[in-house]
Amino acid sequence: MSDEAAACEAVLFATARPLSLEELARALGAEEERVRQALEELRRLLDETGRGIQLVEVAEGFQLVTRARFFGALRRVVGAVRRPSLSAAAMETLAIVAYRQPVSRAEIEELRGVNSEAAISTLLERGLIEVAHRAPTPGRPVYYRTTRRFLEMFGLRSLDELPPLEAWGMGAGPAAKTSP
Amino acid sequence: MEAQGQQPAWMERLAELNRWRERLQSGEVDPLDVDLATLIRETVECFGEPPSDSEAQELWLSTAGEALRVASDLLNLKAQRLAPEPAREDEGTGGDEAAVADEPAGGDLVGLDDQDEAPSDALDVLARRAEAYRRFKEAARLLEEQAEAWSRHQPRQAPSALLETLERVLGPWPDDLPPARAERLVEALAKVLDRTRMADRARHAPSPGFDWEELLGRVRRRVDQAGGPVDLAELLIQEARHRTEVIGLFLAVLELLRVGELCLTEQDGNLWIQRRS
Repeated sequence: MSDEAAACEAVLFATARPLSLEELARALGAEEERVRQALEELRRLLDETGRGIQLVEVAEGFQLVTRARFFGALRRVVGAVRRPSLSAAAMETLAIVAYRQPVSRAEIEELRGVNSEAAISTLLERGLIEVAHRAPTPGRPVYYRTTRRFLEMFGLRSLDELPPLEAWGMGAGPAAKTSP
Repeated sequence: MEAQGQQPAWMERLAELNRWRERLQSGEVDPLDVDLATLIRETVECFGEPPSDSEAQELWLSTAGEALRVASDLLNLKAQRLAPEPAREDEGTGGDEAAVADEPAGGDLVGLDDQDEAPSDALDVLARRAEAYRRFKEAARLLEEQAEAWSRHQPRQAPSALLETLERVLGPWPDDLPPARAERLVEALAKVLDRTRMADRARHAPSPGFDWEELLGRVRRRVDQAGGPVDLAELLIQEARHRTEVIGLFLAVLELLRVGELCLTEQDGNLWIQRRS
């Protein structure tokens, strides 16, 4: 393994959150392109040698995570907590924000047909959505968008990875670029 | 019957309706937030039967007519808010950030925008809304599946200094309360403290002295009275007389979890405690 790949592994191991290419380049004191190559080398090595961890791209960054097939063993030690535990109403509201952002509370309520204030508060509290802006219209309604934490929680590299509903409906796999 | 010189209640009612119309028209209040059905029903009830005096009857009639007109304005404002918006005039003109951001991610999921033809009738609008809602429900289900699949990949657990300190002070966490779940407990505490910060009673009340046994007893009593799962956040908010007492009660809950008197469950993003069976 090259020194750069080993350095990437060390930095990513010591950091619990995804790191962007820029952050890694700054940490290593290397060009971004060089870091990209090192990350590719690290990813290949982890995959080919059957390691228990893998390198994934998530929330516009890179992160070392455990492989899904060892989840059972892991769960007995740390529990499964990263999954957002949301009510059906909150999940529905989150889906609307994810696909329609930026979106106002009134627009969300139009679609859901019910008051969504509590669901929006929950999502704001959990850091899954945030205020995008206030529209320059009467009442200055607040518009919401998803956060980087949303991408992290759902294993998405970016919003571009939100697949069209039709594609999901046809049985396409999850968006996160991971292997079992 | 109104006292001499006092304005009848139904005239006050018209003034109130007018105020509502002004607030809705100015955008101060979103029409969707106003329960117009109740407002108008109360107005109709307020007018009641016409007065017997012919002069008063004439005033009553003109006021009732005006009230009906204002009520119809209010309904119209709400209807406009509920109906699909026409194509925005600024679309495609500026190439600004908002226009770019307005494009839904992952394709057109709603089916209400970008329609060449205006809906022919209300039923058409309703059908489209129902379809859009159905698709978002499906999107929510698929997002949940995505979260489930992704949760099987765990990142390295970041150590929490607070959790480590609590563990050092209170002793090791029980087997069924792993550090990760304890982390959620601390998050719940932070939320409660945030909520109580705004409460006057918490800001001004004198800080009470702590009696550890009393705090433990209060938590036990609340759980026993409920006879089932108790929302942890609600328990802390309702039981605490002061912000610092929130922390005392929280530590009492932790202790009871640690010694195995209580157990912890999570549902709909909330933490619930109950007696261990």
